[in-house]
Amino acid sequence: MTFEFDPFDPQYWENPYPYYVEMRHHYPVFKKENDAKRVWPHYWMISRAQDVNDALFDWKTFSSATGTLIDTDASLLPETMFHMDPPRHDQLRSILSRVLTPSRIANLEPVVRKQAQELADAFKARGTADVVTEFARSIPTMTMCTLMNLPWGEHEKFLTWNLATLGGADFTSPEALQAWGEMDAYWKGLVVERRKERTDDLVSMILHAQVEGEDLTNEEISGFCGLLHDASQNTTINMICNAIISLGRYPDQQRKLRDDPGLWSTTALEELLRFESPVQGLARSTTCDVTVSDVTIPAGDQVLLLYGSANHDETVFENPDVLDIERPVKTHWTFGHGIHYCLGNAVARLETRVSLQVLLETIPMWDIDNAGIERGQLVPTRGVNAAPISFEPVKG
Amino acid sequence: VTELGVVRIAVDLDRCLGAQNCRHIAPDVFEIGDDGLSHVKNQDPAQYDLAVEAAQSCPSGAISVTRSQP
Repeated sequence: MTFEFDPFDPQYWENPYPYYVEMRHHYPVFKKENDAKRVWPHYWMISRAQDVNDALFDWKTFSSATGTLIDTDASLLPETMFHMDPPRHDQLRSILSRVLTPSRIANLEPVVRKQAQELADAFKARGTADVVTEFARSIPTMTMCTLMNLPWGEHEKFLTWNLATLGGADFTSPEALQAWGEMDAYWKGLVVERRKERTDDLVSMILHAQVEGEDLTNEEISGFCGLLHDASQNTTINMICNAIISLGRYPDQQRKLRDDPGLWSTTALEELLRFESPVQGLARSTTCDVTVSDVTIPAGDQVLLLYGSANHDETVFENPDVLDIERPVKTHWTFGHGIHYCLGNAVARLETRVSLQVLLETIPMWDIDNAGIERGQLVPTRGVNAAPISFEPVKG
Repeated sequence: VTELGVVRIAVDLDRCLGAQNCRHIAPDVFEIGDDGLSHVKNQDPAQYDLAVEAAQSCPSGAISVTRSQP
């Protein structure tokens, strides 16, 4: 039988890991035809940790300039450093690196804790909850609104835009393009507003940043706003949801974490991030012919770097398909590696840790209803649209 | 040894992910080698505060910064 794997086919979404094993062992550079053929006729999936890592470090060969989403025309998307190579990428990234300071991130902890607590309190007496819609979905949006000083009253709009653009199968569908357009207009309006009245938020900080003595244009600043919005929500929602699912599926690990919350400051968080990477893969395109695991990929082709597979590579992790919250995870590819390494990683780590801590403190042992889990995507994100849990109701 | 004390800045290359946050925050201290990893090019005590911020921003905790009092 011929091996088949299509990350855009829902039949592979629930458990892609056996297919990743097959690819790492037999088809480490697996060619896949694009059904839609919007831009590229085909792409190549890279599944071994070493190959994924090497590609991420070699940005000259594996370029981001034509986008990082499979078979998507990046020229239709807002221009951000997500879709850039150095030197421009570095100039823009250095701005965000300098304003997203450790103290600014640490200040988010009470905000996330309060929000997560209110959400968990609302369902604790019921004994059931859909942790996607009733818990995880509000937390990253709240964090983003705090960082960018956006009105919380509009949070549903932000989430809707995020899911409409990045939550589906076609990031340039008519619906997605409409949402991109609405967002673009919103960010441009916001920049004009912030120029009039400066506050102590990320947008205001970016507004006053310079690149080599030059001010940023309104276009570039609204691009930053879009980036902060696009990258922060769907990803982190799925990070939180997948961690809740994992702990529901491994009650022994959940119990261990309840008995020893100190594991949060050592191994638990990184293992949860490794085990179900919320970003399963992002794309690059080749700038020259390049040979990876004995397969030559021609110049100009798109490759999909499977972080989810790298995180389960048996040459790096012993028993990779088992969740072990005491595993000393030295590295994983959940946030990528190299020059595009997720700049919001510390924010995402904080949101995941704090929301999970609150859930563990507020409700007793939970079960996950596996049949009730609805997946919405595999790449780029391990999308979860529904994740019902049940637990002993909490009185009072 | 200066009045600012002796500063020692180091990158653990086994942990470095090449995210380059350190270079963006403290460009006079860190440079990226051909290996894509961060290397310390300058132990200037005047750069201590920026080096500490770079260390705190490092996603893999690869940077250590110590200062002995003069």
